Amino acid sequence: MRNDVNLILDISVFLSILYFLSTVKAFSYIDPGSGSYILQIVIASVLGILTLIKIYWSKLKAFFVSFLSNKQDNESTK
Amino acid sequence: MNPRNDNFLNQMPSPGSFRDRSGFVFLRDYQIYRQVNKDYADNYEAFMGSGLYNELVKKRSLIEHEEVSIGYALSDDAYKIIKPRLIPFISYPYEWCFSQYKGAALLTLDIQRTAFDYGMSLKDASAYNIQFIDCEPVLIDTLSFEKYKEGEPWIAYRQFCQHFLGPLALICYKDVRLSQLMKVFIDGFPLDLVSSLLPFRTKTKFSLISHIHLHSKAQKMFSDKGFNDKKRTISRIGIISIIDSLKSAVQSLTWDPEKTVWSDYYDKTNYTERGFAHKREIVSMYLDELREAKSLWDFGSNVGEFSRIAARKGLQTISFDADPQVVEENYLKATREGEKNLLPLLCDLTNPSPDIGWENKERSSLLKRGPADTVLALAVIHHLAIANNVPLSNLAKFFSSICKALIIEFIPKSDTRVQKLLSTRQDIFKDYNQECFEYEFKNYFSVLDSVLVKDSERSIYLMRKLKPL
Repeated sequence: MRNDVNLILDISVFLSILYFLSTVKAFSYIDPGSGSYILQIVIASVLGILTLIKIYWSKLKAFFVSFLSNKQDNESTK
Repeated sequence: MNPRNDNFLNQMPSPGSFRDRSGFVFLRDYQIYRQVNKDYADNYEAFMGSGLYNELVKKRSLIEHEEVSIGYALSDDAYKIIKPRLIPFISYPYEWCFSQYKGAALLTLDIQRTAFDYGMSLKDASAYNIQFIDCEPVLIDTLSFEKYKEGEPWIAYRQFCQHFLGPLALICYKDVRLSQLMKVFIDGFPLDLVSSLLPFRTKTKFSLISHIHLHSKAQKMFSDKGFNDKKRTISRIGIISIIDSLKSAVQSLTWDPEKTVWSDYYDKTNYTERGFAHKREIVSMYLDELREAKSLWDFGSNVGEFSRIAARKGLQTISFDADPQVVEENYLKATREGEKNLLPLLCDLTNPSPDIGWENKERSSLLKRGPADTVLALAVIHHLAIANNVPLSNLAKFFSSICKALIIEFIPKSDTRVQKLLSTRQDIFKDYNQECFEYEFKNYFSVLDSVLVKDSERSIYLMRKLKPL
């Protein structure tokens, strides 16, 4: 549950940054460390989810392929 | 890591080695050593003991070292002293061509990915930590590794984007000359600057949106907020995805230049085939006479035709040119053919790399990384004397400060190349003639020999620097 809340928060931060996506010049002193840290967490969450989907998708595909081929084999032996 | 560098005092930490408290580089009896501090002992043992060191050295990704006596330590907090293999010539990102820069970026990511498998992580992703040996990039900072703590993000992510991804994206999408901004920004390109310079179409590429545009935006958004939420962590799969994403971002960046002024120089040069072959013979013969020479700098090397004569004779050859296109061609040829002793680099001789960084000592000027045993200056003197208005006396003095022996070509005013230069300027170069050239250079050099190149009006000289009185 906590992970889900974190994920929703991460994605909302990602989308809010996306919303403000226009070029901003930072002439004054800034500490870029915090932003880099947060962004990395956000991107890692987004990419991590995509990677998981990719992994599970191929597993799911493999499952259906083997399921269907088994079914076909069974039908052909009948 | 040049032991002859003026910035580098015996038994003092190197001036470019102060940021990292894990240790520092120092010079002792013209040898380079690295002190490992007690603070870093745990990480050093984990690095050496995990097998990561052996793996990276085996892959030729990391400079190898040997542990030496602790008696060499410069301070009480020393844990170990290591002696790394000497790098023939230290180069900087603003001297690299595109493919060198890209190779250095991919090596950094590959090392980080490998380190991760061994439970370690890179804490720095500085472009200055990468050097070239025989055109192969190699990491030189042995103390860059720390134990990976589960859930922590990659601490060097920002530095990687500033030192590598930003510059490479600007070269790819804007202009190859923008790599020179690394001279201005010592810790890499500010991402808001990269974001503002990149064209709008880069906002359609996920890798550049996330690692550059959003990254810059996030830096701005959270600049005055700080971040203490340690509970928010990154999974292993998240970190690996970031490294993979950075890798595909770098891999997708390419640079395909159009032909520049110099890239087809040899095809249109003023030599006949016989003259060009003769020039090669002369250079080869003069190099044979300088038997004691170990290093050579070739200025205005173009694609390295003459640099290769020196490299094949075993001289550590740096092939300098001001044109990024010919340096790129030279580098790609050298890597394709696995050539040894040759490093093509960018250098505008009218404005060579300066001393930069903290106290102007962190990164050395080109001159402080010398002198070279031999300098090869073929078909460059007219550019310096006529296109750049440098008097012959200044040229002679300059060359005497960067080498012990000089192979230099004099091109008279009657040559069509010089005529072309003079066609757009007033001829104020009354003393630009062979007699004055010899007179000025004899103030600093003894002329050992000179030969007129067949089918041309050009002469090549072999000179040795006069010993100071």
